Amino acid sequence: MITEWNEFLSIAQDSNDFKHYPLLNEESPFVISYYQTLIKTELLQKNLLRPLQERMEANESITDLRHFSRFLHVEDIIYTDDIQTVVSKIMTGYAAIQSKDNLQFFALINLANPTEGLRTDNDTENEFSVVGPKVGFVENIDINLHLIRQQISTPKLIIRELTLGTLSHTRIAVVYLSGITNPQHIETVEQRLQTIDFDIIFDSSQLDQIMSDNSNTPFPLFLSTERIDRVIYALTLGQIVIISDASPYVITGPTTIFDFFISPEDYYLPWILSSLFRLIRIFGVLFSILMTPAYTAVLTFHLEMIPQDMLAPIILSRKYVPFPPVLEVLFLELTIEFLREAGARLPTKVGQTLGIVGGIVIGQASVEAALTSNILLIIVALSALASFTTPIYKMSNTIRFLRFPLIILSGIWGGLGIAIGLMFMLTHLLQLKSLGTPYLAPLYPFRRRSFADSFIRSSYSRTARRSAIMRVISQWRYDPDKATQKRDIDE
Amino acid sequence: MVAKRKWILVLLIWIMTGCSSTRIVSEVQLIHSLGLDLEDQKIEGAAITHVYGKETTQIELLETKSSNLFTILPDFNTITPSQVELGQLRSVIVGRKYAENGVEALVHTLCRDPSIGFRLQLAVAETKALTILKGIRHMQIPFFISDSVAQNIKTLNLPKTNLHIFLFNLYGEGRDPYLPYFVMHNDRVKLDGLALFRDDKFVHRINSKESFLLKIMVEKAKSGQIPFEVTIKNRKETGMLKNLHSHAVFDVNMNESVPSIRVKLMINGQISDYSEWLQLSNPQVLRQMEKELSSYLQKEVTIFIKHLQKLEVDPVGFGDLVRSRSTSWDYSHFKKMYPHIKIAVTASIKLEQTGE
Amino acid sequence: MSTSIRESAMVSPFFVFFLVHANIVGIGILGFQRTIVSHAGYDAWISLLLAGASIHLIIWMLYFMLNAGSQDLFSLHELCFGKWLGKLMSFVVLIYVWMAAFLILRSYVSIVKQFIFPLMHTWSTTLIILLLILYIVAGGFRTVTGVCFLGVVIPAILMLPLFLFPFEYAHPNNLFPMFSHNLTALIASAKDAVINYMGFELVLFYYPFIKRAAHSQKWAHAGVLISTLLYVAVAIVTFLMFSHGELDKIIWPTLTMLKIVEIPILQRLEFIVISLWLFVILPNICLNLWGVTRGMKQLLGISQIRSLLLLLISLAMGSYLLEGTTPLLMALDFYGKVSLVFIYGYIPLLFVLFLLWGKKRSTARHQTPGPETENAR
Repeated sequence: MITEWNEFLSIAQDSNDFKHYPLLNEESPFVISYYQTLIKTELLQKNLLRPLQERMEANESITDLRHFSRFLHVEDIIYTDDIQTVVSKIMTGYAAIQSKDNLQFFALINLANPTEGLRTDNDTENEFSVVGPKVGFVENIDINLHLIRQQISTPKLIIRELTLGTLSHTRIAVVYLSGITNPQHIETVEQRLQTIDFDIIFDSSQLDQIMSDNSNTPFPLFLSTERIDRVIYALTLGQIVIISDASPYVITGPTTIFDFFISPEDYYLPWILSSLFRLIRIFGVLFSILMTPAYTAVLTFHLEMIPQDMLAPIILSRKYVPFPPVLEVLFLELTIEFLREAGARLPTKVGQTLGIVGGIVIGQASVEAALTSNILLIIVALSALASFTTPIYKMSNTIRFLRFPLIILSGIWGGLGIAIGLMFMLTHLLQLKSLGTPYLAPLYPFRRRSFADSFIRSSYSRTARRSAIMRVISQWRYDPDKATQKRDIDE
Repeated sequence: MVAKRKWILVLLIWIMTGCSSTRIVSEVQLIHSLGLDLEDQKIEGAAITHVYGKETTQIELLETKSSNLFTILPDFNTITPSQVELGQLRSVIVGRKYAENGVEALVHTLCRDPSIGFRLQLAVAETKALTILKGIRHMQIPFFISDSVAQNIKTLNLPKTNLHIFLFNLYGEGRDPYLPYFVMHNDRVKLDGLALFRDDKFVHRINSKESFLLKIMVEKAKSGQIPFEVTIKNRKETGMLKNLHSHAVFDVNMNESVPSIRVKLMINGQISDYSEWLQLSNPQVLRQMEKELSSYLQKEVTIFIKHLQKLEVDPVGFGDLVRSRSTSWDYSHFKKMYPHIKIAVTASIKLEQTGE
Repeated sequence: MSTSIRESAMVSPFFVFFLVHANIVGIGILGFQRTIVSHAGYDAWISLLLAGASIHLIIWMLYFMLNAGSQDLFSLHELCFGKWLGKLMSFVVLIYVWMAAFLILRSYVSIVKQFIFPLMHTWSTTLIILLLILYIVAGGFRTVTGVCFLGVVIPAILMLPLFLFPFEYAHPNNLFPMFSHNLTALIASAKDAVINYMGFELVLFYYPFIKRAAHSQKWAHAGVLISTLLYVAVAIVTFLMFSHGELDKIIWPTLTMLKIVEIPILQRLEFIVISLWLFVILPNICLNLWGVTRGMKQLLGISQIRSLLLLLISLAMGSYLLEGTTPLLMALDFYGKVSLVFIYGYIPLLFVLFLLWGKKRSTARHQTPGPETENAR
């Protein structure tokens, strides 16, 4: 028993922030141990040291640990002799007090400081929408859970907590709506989470990758978001939400590829507009992936396809470019990627400036120097822009990536190369599953009814039914008949 | 991911070995217009091509001579720094002599070449194709022939034509092809009428007026104009009849041994230039004008068809019409019969208000 | 049944439509017009309808045999011929199916070479397509079905509108005089057309992979029907656009027809169509190869992935050996004859044999219902 404690002490005292000393003065019968970095010093002063001092000055002699609860105004005092508990509590911000007479017995006082160093400001930072709530998640799991519970006030909202990470002991919460979400999915998630053996879980995105159905894919199989409305929506549709402590991003699943092109704003705008915007986003992806490969293919192999009026501009702008189109495209795409990476790594203000300066200067200069054609410059810039239309950052990274193999293929086999690349991609998508749900649904397997909220967003009267893809237990979200009352003209 | 890495290796090998079929658009010599002439049993080839400079682009003319049609293209390669490509070929023009000798070999080659589109324009040049191409170089307009043909189809008297239509008429039984005809006119290239073919050989050239008559018979025309001369209120009146949309119906009577055909032409038109005394706003005058014009057109078309029959060319496709109505069809028999079949024409013109 | 099939590997009956349709339409639709007009002239579209109708009959026969408990080709053969002869016959059919895959691949590569890369060696194109096939077939039946689905949907959206362009040059007179050919000529043309319908017979392989398979018959018929209509539509558009004499000069009428298409930002769309045609031929090759791998597993017990690699190597070798157009045309001709025998000789023979004694045996076998019958309810 006592050896265990000593072992702990010997390890812990190597660390500078571990404190272990007699309370108040050398003569004191009590010894206190805590991690300075985990507690709130104010609390230590106010709740422990000051009352103790007062007693000492009043010449009250305190000899028994159990007396502490009499004068300390702390609700959370635990008495124990279990070293395991003591150690784990110290690790979460408790102070342990022992009496010198009986080193086996501890009083644990909660001095934890959970909000220290956290943001007070929880605006969404990376997923903007003009309309709709701007509240985002923060790095604290309790606040995040609180935010969710605030929105869904029903006992059906189930939160299951577990701890993961052999070193980090991160709190993970699995949130779902019982009676809606398919229990099989819940089981899969919990099972996968429990079998995780990983040292540090720092962000939910790691969970995403660890518990993913296929780790060899560029596509994100879970949607990670910092927006509350998106998470609430996912929950009501029968998805499972996984929250990890210390991560402002929450992951939801199972997902289909179309989920990544949904912006919460779609639900706040009239459905006709949102449907159009969604189609534009999907078109943006296609444009972004296919435009530069198409340029390469046409200019390298299929010169017949260039219309008469475009011929002179294309040839003129490319006449003195020394590389074949494939290298020209790769060069310019790489430039854009450099700019993007640099812009993301640099502080905001510098990043912005760099983006503009780099974009204009490098682009202009490389055209002047006949390293690229200006038509390509426009195409590359447009396709970079189009890739930003994807609301989920992870997906837009994927789209960035997908372009490169296609460019190379199109440089070798022209249009056929693009077709081959696309087919590889589509086959990969066909094989992907998120929590056992086909990734390409509702396209394959074909679910006509689920099209209502996929690449278009139909009116609310048509989205009353939950998507069959999620294999939910109860299908109806609300009564669609109440949403639409059929009326004749002039009634 | 190991598999992926292997792939990248394989891909790299391919990049190094496989790029043999590249035809980078800015590094090849694109031919926009090809001209062929027959001179002393040899084929003279000429080609219009672009030369792109830093500031200006220039049109250049390549010329070669060869005994064989199929060696013309390789011959061009010997006089250009970069590889010659036909992918942007928009027109092929042949000299009159070449056309008289038959163009089947040429169009068959064009039809089989995957890099050549079916919208390619074929044309016949007055005396030599080379002179026309020289005129084009002088004007510095690379796509002159194809553009001018397209423009004339859209606004004037040229019936719709391109490689496909030529092939359709050439290989289709009971039809003869026709092509636009180009002449030189004061240093400028001018589209002037149509060249009529019997099978694949040039036989006759018709003028712009006759080309209008052909146009309204072979298609639902939406353009074209024809000068007219009618007698109305005992006064001679000349002017221009503008076609807005026309429509031709053919009736074939197969009951006799020699079939007879009735051509009904319906034209919605407009007359633009006419003398002031002619009060077209008066419905009666308008009716009379329509009647006069109809009989004028009827007469013109009848003469034109007679002429075609005499020439034994069938650009309208009367033969095809007969074929589609007959259970037993013998093209050679029809060819013999063609000059003798009775073709009656009726025209009805409706004038639309000119809006003065 | 030697192996039981996971529920998750099965597809719903609806997809039989795509499996049938995607496998009928393939390389043939690019150039079938020229062969079918040789006897029936421009009445050949009637021959297409006749051929389609006969395929419906064959599909009915196949489904009759499969529904009556024979499950797939291998058990059907076993029921009709006994164990050893049945295995032998299955093996012959596998070679036939492999040959179809090979010829489709080879024809596609030769079209690509002819139209896009006249100077390129075919082996590099062949190899990359084989890699793609490996990736697809290794994904299992569901992936192959998915490729069939995409191979119908994507080309339909992108390419069908293109066939409206030739109407600008349509000559309705070309189709007249209609019905001027006698039945013999029509049937002769139908005989030439049948090779274009090949691919539906693979239902003999994938039948056990269909949920509620007996219900999928209507989808199979729908697949044949739509394919027939598609062929007829393409044939009629071609006939309207080309005169008979012109058609004789053209090797790939469907592709040549697209030479006339021109849209403002792009002209000469046939190059895109040839590239995207990969989506149309992949289902053919993949399903055929999948069928062969499954057969090898049933007959010889070779694991599917291993036999797949073997097959791909054989395809690569085959393409390397069969260089040039003339041997390809000869092989296609041979395949056409074999498929005629297969459809109109072999399947009816099987049907008769099955009616004679196979059916009794199969009902006898199903006296003790296994888990398999439970699944196929």
